[in-house]
Amino acid sequence: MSDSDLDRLYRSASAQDTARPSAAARQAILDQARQLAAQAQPASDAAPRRASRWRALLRSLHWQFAAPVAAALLAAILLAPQWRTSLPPVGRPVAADHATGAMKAQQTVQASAPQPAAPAPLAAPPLPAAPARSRQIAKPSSNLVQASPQAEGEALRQSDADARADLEPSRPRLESRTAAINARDRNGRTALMLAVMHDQPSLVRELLARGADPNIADLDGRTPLSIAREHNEGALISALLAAGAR
Amino acid sequence: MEGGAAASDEELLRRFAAGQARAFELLYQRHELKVYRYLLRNLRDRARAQDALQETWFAVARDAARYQPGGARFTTWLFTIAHHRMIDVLRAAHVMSEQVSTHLVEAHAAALAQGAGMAEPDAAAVASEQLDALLRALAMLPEEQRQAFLLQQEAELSVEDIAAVCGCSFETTKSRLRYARSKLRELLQDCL
Repeated sequence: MSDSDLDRLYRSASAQDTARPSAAARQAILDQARQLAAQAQPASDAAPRRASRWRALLRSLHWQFAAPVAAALLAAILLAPQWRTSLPPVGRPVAADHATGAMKAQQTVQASAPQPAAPAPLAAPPLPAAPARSRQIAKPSSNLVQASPQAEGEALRQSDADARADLEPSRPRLESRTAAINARDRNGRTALMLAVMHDQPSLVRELLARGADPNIADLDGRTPLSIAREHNEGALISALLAAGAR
Repeated sequence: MEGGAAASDEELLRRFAAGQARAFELLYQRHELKVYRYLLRNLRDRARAQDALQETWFAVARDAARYQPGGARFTTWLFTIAHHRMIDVLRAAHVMSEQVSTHLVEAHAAALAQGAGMAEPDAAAVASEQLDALLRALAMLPEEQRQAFLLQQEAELSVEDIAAVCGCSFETTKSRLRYARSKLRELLQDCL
C-alpha cells in the first residue's frame, strides 16, 4: 500500500463516519460567540460615540468659559492702567478701596432695609469694577432683605457715581494706551477678534469706541468682520462695518 | 454577510473580532468536523471530545481579537488550541490508549445504520469495515504518532505546522509521521 492509497482509504473511511458533535454542544459554542460579538459591537461603536461626547463637552466648556475669560482678559487690558494709578497709599486696604462703590451701595441698601435678616456678604473684588460691574455688585443678594425701589435706585445712582469717579483719573492714561487694545496673541488675534468670536457685542462696541482696529487679521488671515460673518452675527457685522471694517 | 463564504479564515476571524457573529458561524461550519474528528479520534470518548471541542471554540472566540494575521495560519492556530485542550483532557482523565473505545462501537453502529439505506448491502458492509478498521488502527498507534497523522489528515497541516502544534522539532515530526504511516499501511493492508 502506497502513501496515496493510505490517504485515499482514510478519506473514504472517514466519509462514512457520521460522528458529529451534539446540537447542544454546537449551540453552546455559537451562543458564546454571539455574546462575545455583541460585547465587541458596542465597544467598536462606543469609541467614536465617546469621542463625540468628549468633543461636545469640550465645545460646551469652551463656549461656557471662553467668553468670561475673554471678557476678564479684555477688562484687565483696559483697566490695568487705571488700577495702577488708583493704587491706595501703603497700609490702605486695596480691596475695600476698589469696591468702594459696591460696598457703599450695599450699605445703603442695608441701612434702608427695615429688618436686616442676615449680614451682607462682603463682596470685595480684587479689581476695580466698571460701572456696569458696580451695578451688578450693588444689586441686593438673596440674603438681603429687599430694599424699597427708591432706596435701591438711590444706591445704584450712588454706586455709578462712585465708579465713574474711580475711573476718571485714569482715563487719560487709558487713552494713551490705545496701542494695547490692538495687542495680538500668539495666533495674531486681537481683543476685538476675541470679543467677536465669543459674541460679546458690548465689548466689541466698547473696543471699537476706544479705537480698536477692526481690520487686523490673525495668522489665518481672518478679520473680526470675517469671523462675525462666519457666525452670522448681524449686530456685530453692522458695528464693525460702521467702524470701517473691510 | 457580504462575501462571507469566499472570505479567508483570517478575514472571518477579523470580522468576528469586530463584532460580526455570522463570521464566527461560517468559520465554525468550515472547521467543526475536522476539529471534532481530531479530538474524537485521539480521545476516543464522545463526551470528552465534545467538552474539548467546546473549550477549543470558546478559546477561539475569546482570543479572536488577539490573533495576529501575520503569524500562524488560522488553521494552525485553531489546531494548536485543540491539541492543547486534548492534552489537558488526556491528562485529567488519564485516558489510556489501551482503553476500550466507545467511539469504535458507536462508529461501527452508525456506519451500519447508514449502510442500511444503500443499494448494495455489500458496499455498506465494506464501508463499515473500512471505518472500523481505520479507527482500530488509529487506536493502536502511539499517541504522538496518531496526533501527527491526524493533524496531517484532518487539518491538512504541513510537517512544519504539525511540529509547531505539537511543540516538537521538524525531524521528530517527520519521524512520527513516517512510523504512523508505516504502521497504518501494515494494519490496513487487508482493507484494500
